[in-house]
Amino acid sequence: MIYRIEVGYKKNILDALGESVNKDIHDLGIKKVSKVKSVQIYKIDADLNFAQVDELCRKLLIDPITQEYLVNQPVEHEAALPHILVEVWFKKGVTDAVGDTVITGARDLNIQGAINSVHTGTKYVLYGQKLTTQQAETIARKLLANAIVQDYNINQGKLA
Amino acid sequence: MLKPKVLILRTAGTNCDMETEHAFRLASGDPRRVHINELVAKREVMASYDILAIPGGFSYGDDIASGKVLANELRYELGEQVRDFASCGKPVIGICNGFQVLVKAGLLPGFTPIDEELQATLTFNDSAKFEARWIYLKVSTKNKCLWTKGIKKLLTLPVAHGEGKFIPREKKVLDLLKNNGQVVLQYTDAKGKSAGYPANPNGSVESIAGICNPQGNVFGLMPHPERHLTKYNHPRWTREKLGEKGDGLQIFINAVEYSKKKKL
Amino acid sequence: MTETDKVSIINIRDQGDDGLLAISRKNLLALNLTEMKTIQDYFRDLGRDPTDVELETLAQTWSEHCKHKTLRGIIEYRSQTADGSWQSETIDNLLKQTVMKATAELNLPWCLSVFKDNAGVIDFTKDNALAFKVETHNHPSALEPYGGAGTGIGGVIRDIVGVGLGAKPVVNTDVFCFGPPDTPFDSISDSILHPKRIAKGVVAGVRDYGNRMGIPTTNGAVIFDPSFIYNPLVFCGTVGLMPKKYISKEVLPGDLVLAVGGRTGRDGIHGATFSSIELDKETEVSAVQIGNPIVEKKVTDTLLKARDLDLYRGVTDCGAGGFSSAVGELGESCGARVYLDRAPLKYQGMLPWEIWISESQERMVLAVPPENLDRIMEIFTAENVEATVIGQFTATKKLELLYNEETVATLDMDFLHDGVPRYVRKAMWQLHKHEEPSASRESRVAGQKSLGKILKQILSQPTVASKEWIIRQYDHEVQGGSIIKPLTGAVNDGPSDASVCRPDLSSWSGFVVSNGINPRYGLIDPYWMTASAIDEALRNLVCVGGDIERTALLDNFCWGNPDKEEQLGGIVRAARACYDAAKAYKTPFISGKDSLNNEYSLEGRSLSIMATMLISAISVISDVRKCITMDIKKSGNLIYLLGDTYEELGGSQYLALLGLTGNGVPRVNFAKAKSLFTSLTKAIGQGLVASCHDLSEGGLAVAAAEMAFAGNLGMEIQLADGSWQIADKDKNETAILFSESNSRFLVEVDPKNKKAFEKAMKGQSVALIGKVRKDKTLQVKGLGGKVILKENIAGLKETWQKTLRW
Repeated sequence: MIYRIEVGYKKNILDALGESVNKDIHDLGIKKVSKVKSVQIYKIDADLNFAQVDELCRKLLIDPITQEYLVNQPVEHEAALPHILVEVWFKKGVTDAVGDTVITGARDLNIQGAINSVHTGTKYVLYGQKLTTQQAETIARKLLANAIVQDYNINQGKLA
Repeated sequence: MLKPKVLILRTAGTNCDMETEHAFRLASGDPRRVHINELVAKREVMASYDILAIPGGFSYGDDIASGKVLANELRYELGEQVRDFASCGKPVIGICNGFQVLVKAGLLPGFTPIDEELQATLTFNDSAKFEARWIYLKVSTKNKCLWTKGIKKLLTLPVAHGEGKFIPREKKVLDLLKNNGQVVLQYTDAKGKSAGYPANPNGSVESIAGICNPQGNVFGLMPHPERHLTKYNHPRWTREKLGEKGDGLQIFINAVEYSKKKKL
Repeated sequence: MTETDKVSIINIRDQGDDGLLAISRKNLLALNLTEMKTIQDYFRDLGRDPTDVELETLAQTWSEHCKHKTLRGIIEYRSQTADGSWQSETIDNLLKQTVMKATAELNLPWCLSVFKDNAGVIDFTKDNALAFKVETHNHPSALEPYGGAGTGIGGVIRDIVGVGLGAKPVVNTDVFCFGPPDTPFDSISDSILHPKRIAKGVVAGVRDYGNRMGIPTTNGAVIFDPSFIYNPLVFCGTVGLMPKKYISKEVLPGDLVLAVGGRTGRDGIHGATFSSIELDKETEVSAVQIGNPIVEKKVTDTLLKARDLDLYRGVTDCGAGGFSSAVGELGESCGARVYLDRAPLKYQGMLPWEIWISESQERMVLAVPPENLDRIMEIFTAENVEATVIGQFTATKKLELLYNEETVATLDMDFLHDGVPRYVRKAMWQLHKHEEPSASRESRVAGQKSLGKILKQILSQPTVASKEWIIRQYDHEVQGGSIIKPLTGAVNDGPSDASVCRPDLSSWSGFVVSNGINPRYGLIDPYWMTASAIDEALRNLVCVGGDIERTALLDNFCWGNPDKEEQLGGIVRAARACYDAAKAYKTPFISGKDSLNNEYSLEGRSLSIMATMLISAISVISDVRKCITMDIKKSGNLIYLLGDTYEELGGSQYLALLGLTGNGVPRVNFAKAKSLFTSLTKAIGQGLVASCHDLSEGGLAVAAAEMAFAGNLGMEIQLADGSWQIADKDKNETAILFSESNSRFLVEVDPKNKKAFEKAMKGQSVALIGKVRKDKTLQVKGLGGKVILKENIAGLKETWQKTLRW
């Protein structure tokens, strides 16, 4: 089974990575982004049942005080506001140290069942009234992803 | 009299173990650096030590979240040994990454021997980047911590971390920490007053830099006392009048002295 | 040898010139025609064609990166003298004639291992030695700044871990050259990353690798210039501490080849040859990788444990060329047989030649006596480090590679290591005349704006501005031995000249690390750029209390394409400055690197970097408690200027403000400089100096400002009290303030030490030109006694800090 797990910050917690990406976007000369939310994604290929994956999330992948998670569905964001989603993944064959550590960490939890691979990625929710997909493309290409080692895809969330 | 035996826990990514070992040696302890695999293989080893130190570093790269993987190993692989060690009153210290580990393993705040539910956490600095700087620390007057006993002066120590923002789970936890005398260290400005960034380098709630368990034997802090053992570590030793001893040394001496007395 | 689905036989015996070159190009071998022909002859003699494994092995071993073919080759050099006439000569092995020659002639007993191992090694204390190495990782950092810089630092750390029988990394130093951070987005090609993106990525890469390894980053420099937009330079350096008994390797036939650390994957294939190829937007990118510092940390921890138990006889890192160069180096004098199918892989499906030359990170190769295998494996296994025997060293003087019992390569070690034909290249040097500031142009800057405003403009230039944003992201205190930190002063934010560490916490012995770099001088003359860089590195080191008598140097040549005569001519000039300076200062070079071909081809044009020489220096000091810092300490203290000031504004920050280079490049009087440095070292050692700062970019004005705001005190300077080697005195208060003449210091002395200090500096060029003030302003009185510059230090500091506060 392949599970897709999303981990995001709770509403009242500062998303420091999101904030700093927002600053970098302004440095790119694009002023149309008002806020950025960052979401960590884990794609886990494992012979585990849902309850086991849920346990893995609670005990390893999240910080219950600052973060929330959902399995096989996106964590909530302010979907009502206009936004565009950008997902960035390491290309196949590129060292994914975090992915490797998840496998080590799962072993410690004594969860029965094999984990075949863990792939990590990041989702950025770019909020902005007048943000265009073209601008999101520029942001992805020039800032969020490096085509040499990463792939990205852009998903029109809610456009203005 | 025999010197108290200090277990300095190592694992992949630990990197402040040598200077922590040096600190305990200066404090007249008998430190040894031990890899976690050895503790897991021989479970009786831990109990033969008098003091446990979890030094700084990036255990397992701090991938996923800082200290998380090592915390789980302590909780799930060595839970019993660690709980026994802490609850019989032996001194335990977690510095920087070690503090993150103690908190995430549930040994701090330690309202119960190992908190099942996380009561507090250390998360990304508000500045969203690694911060290496010297900061000032106020030692809370009514804390119970054996490690800081008798220290009244404003301390100068370095921090070096990306995830040091202390957040209690809820207001109740914060109140409990304060009322129990568990808040040990708070970031301040040069005059000892609480202040914002960069005096508080990570945005910690109430400028909290270090806490202990209700018994006062388990202590965790983000700053690095082992990096200020002589005055020549101080960033302004070329311009200020300072004592020969660095501000961090007394912390290690306190634990060694405590263990010696306890053994008598 | 037979062709299989895993190994191809490449027909080279029957090829003509075009065919040979096509093979080299198609397989990214970066071998030229002479080299291909040499290989052809070798295989014709053997009566067979090479396998792909053999050809790749030769290409890696013979790469510019590994063999320094240009600098060790034959150079037909012609140069124009001052009177316009031309001189010609043939230089046989430039490195041997210059950099290495100085070291050989100086023949200092404390140089323990130079120019042969992964790093230079010098004597430190009774039992310990220090190893030092700085190298570049430019091309990968241009394409993938985070991964490129991370693997750059990872690589140089492995060099230190693999020097002799292994050293413990104790300090990192990093120097970067980037395009200007405010480069407009629409002014650069879409095929490259913006300089600020590169800068942030590089800093993050170095941060995440260095911090995770637990090595303090204590010193560095960052230069910004448009010529680095397409080719940033990333220099990473590491100092290691090792017991003296472990400084050499001795591999014996029968020792096992043990591969330790990370697994082998397809990453970084052709890295060694890639670094010699000009970049363009089509450049193949498998050469870029992301590292895993925790694996390297585990390898380092366990390896040093095994070293202390004397369990192996040789070690080296898998750097450029991977197993090929590591096994090749260790087995050079005996021979080796390797079973490629036994190497642990990240994934299946790799071809034998890929396994052999992959540059996957975090791998080391050891030579282990068979009787020690069980014990050494126990050490690695105990800490979850993978280690696998992949072969054995032999007495055959051959490199033999097998895959699934089939032989896939057999090469003579002699041919592999010494068979590469020497390059013969042409080089040329002539002096170019650059535009000088016209009176009107200068007055536009100097006239309309006050000297204070010019000072502020220079302080805000990214090259001069505070690097605090970068420095604070590096852990500079880990390991607990930090004595003089990168930032210093009343509130820990002044710019230190150099860093001081004590790597052994039970001793007060320590070492100083410093750097010197100013590529703008090279636009005028690479000779004086290099001399200036050496002088600057030494000045920086002397400022904190380094001992000029116990100082060693490293060079790093970064140039454009050496096929261009003028590029190579510049290298010749620079190398000669290395020789002259090292001899005069008695500071030997112990290791060095060159990175050529720093060019980018854009729409048919080749964009080259400014030729850049980085000089890194390391000095051993017996008592770190005698060190000093650059921040002024007490009002009423005296301020001395040491050294001579000439009208040397060529390549200066002042002329850069006018958009000019000029011609009056700062020169060095080596004998005078050496004598001054020696006297100053003594004065500092006697405790007579309260603070000391060198004069570099921005000259006297910038140095005074930095000392003042670092100390949170004011300073007064009276130019009338100095003596200036400037012809036209009236004209040139500006030149006095902003000239970048070498070998100069500003020094603070307590009045009670006045006599003793002046006595210590007897015979030197010394002028008492000012004092420390309480009032927190920087004041300069001109030659006529009038105040010509008055700025409050908080304002100066803010200007200096604002630029790079990202």
